[in-house]
Amino acid sequence: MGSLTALPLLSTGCSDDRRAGDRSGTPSALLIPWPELLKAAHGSRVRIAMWDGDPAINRWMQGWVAEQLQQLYKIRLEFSGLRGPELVSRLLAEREAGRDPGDLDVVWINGETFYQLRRISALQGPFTQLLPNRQWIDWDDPFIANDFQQPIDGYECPWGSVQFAVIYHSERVTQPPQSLAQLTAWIHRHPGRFTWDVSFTGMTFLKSILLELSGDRQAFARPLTEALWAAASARLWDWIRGVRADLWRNGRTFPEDVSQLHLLFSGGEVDFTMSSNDGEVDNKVLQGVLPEAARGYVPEFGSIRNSHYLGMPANAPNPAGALAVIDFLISPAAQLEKARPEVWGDGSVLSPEKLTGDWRVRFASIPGRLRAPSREEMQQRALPEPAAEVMMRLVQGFRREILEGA
Amino acid sequence: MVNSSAAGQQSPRRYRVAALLLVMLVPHLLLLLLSTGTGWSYPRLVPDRLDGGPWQQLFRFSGLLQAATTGGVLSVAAGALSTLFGLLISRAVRGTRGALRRLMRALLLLPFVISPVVAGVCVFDLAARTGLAGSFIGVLCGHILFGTATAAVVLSEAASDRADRLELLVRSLGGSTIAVWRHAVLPQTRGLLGVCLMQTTLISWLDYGIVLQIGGGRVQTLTLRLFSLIRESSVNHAALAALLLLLPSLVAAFLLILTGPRSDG
Amino acid sequence: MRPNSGGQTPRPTTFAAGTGERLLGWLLLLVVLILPLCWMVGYAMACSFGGIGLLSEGWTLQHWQLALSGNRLWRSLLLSSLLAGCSTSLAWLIALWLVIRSPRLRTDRRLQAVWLLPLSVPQVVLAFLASVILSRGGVLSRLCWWLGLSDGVAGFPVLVQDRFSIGLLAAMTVASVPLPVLFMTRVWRAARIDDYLMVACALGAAPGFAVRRVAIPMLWRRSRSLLLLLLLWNFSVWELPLLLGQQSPRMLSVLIQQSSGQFVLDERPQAFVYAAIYLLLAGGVVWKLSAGSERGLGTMPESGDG
Repeated sequence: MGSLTALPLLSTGCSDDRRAGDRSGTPSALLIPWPELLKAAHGSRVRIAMWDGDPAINRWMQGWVAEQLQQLYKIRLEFSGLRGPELVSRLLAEREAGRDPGDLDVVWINGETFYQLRRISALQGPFTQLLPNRQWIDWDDPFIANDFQQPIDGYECPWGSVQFAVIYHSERVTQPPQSLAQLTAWIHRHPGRFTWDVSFTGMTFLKSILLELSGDRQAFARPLTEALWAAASARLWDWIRGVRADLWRNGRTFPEDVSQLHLLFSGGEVDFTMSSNDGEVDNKVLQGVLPEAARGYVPEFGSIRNSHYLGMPANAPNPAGALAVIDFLISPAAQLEKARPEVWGDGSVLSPEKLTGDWRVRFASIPGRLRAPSREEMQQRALPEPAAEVMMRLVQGFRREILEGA
Repeated sequence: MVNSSAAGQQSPRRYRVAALLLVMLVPHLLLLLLSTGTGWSYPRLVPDRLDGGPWQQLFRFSGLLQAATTGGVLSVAAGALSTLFGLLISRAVRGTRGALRRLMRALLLLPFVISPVVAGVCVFDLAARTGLAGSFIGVLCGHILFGTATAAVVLSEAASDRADRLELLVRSLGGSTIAVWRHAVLPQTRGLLGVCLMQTTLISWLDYGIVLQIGGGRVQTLTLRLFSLIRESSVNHAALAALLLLLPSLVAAFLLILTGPRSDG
Repeated sequence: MRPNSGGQTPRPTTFAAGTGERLLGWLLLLVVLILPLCWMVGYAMACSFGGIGLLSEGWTLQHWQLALSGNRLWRSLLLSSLLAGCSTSLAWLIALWLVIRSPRLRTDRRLQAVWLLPLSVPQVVLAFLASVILSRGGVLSRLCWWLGLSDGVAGFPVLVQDRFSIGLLAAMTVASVPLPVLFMTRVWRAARIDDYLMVACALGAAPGFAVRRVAIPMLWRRSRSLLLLLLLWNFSVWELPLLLGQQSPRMLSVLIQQSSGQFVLDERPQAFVYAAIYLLLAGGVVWKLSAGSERGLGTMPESGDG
């Protein structure tokens, strides 16, 4: 019934300006009072595309989130497991075929995915100004306002704020390496005990090495030039070639995904794993994925801090439902639940200063981290996320220089 | 070594079948073992906790049951339609000769051999333009493409002069098309139709490439869930998904073993 | 299934199927098969030449030049050919050995039906099983530890995602064995190889000699088409190399799928160059296969098993 109610609204949403590929400007269909929008979303089906490589996240989304949305708005939340590149290529193919409406309402994205989707005008917006729960977010925070150095401009809504962390086995590694030189020496002293994955997390690790090798933490905050990339990447490839013989499997192959790296770590094949989420170590130990001896830290050379976001495809069939879901996901209740170590341990995007007293207390009472330094401590070593282009060149270069150059 | 009739007579036949069956079932038993617990840390041979976790969650969050239902409906529909279409196509192209016949054979063999995932990559645009991408019907169409080709190839084996003459006889005696199908076509092809239906149903049930590319994660089948669980490194849940995926073929094979003729006689 | 076409009787000159029925069949052929297949080839070609695509800058040979000049495609083709060739040959040899060594397998339908079990295991499950069994943290490695043959994970050889594709080759071979086994048992009966062997032995040939000079050539001749099909199937596998294969080079279908869905969108047309080459290759093999008997459309043996 709800979908039927939303029908006229959606057909207006598919007006000529959207077909022309110009996604600038909030769709007029969404410029209605929030209660009316919720009414349109009531009882509808919302499809979210998300990375499905973490059972805890999947369980939380399919369990708590789906149940809450069902109770609050009678919204039926459906899931599509799509990783960043798959999502981009899918929405690109849909744009090429002129498919409107499509079949995804909400997409979980960040960085290079956001960059590519903006490039092909596959995102709808700006929409964040429509969300009532935007009031809790500090939109001036550079780690929120910019996604991989690109202003979000209301085309995606922050959902979680995290910092990359290295995880080590405290029984096997008593003194985790702090500097790059120490890390290099450790790898050489312990052949086959270190590696990284070739997906998002591993590439984020390489970005921090890239920044360290370039000697300038702001090196990639500026527009990327060929000369800058050539010089910086050459140093990175040299470093990898220098250590590769002592990496896991002699650096000829790497885990496909961070979940595989976790498996190698818990299976005792390597002594380090990593996470894009600074709070994940507790969560993974509680789940039994990582052993009790796992500890998280940020080396002295720092680690990338960024946010992840929720966007709405330009051809979303149910934009009203999408907005209702996104608004719920940035609500204090959902953010609090998500931040609990036993649930996900994901950093909240809500600003404590903006929260009301009651919520502030609840957030403050989230059990502290047992196996990683506090968030504040880690943030002292936070590195800004380089531009999205760096990630794409890194993925491309890593494949050409390291994987194919084996 | 050469004589087929004498060499194996002495050893009890049923033990041979049972022994081979046991060997073939080792992977299934391993999956069953892994699916009965939680965790599987090295060097344990059995899961860390034999708590039946994945089986308990089967009815809750894992979505396996729903995926099995979607996959089941999809494969039965794809199997039935592919078999019907394959029969009609095999009968239509039966009379072709020379280069046209060769072209037909090539056309029917092509989907038989190409990778579904490559086909999915190349046909996604068509699916998106026709509104079939990300839909149950879209995935069904993809499966029918592969199933129909298989069915047409298999059912072309039913062609025989005797079958043709029987059909002509029914027709010349005044039988309508329905009568021809009822009294000649279906009785002649019944055995092959069964094989075909089973084969095309299984093709759909076991497919991952088309479901991934055309379904785009929206049409959740067991193969899709299994891959997702493998990516999660959820060994126990993945084992359960794999076991559910193997169940229909296991039942079909057992039925064949139990009910089929023992030997050529 | 159908009578051995030794003594042929002339076929009826009229089509048994009615005109309407044939029209429906042709229409289905057009809609269900010809149209999507033409679209696939046409779309891959058009994308590869930059003719279509959101980021296309017009028709160009650039993507073909880039794809053909790099070594990614050639290494992938080489790997796919090698693995397909090895796994198909191994599967055929194993099947041949089983069929020759086990007379019971050639006559016992139930024993043959057991082979349907591995035949119906999907590649994704096989890949999962292979990694559960063969990986360094897998069943074999654990058994070795318990038996004192290895001192832990590091003491077990790398068999999955390994440099020499051992695990992948093993999985591809295991997946390929059942079909030639079932095929050869059927050929054995249909071609009455036992009778020929008895004649050969009666004429003084030793059993082993008779098998080498009579049975194997007959089986080889009749299974060539199936082997070609199997070769193409193995060339096209996707799930197995995706989970068990090394990251570089990739087998062709993995390369196509991954190139079509990667971050660097400007390289996407190259995926369609690979796809076009693959489809043309497959088309060529299928065209070769399609030159055959007048009756069936497939590659099944001319059987006389009733």
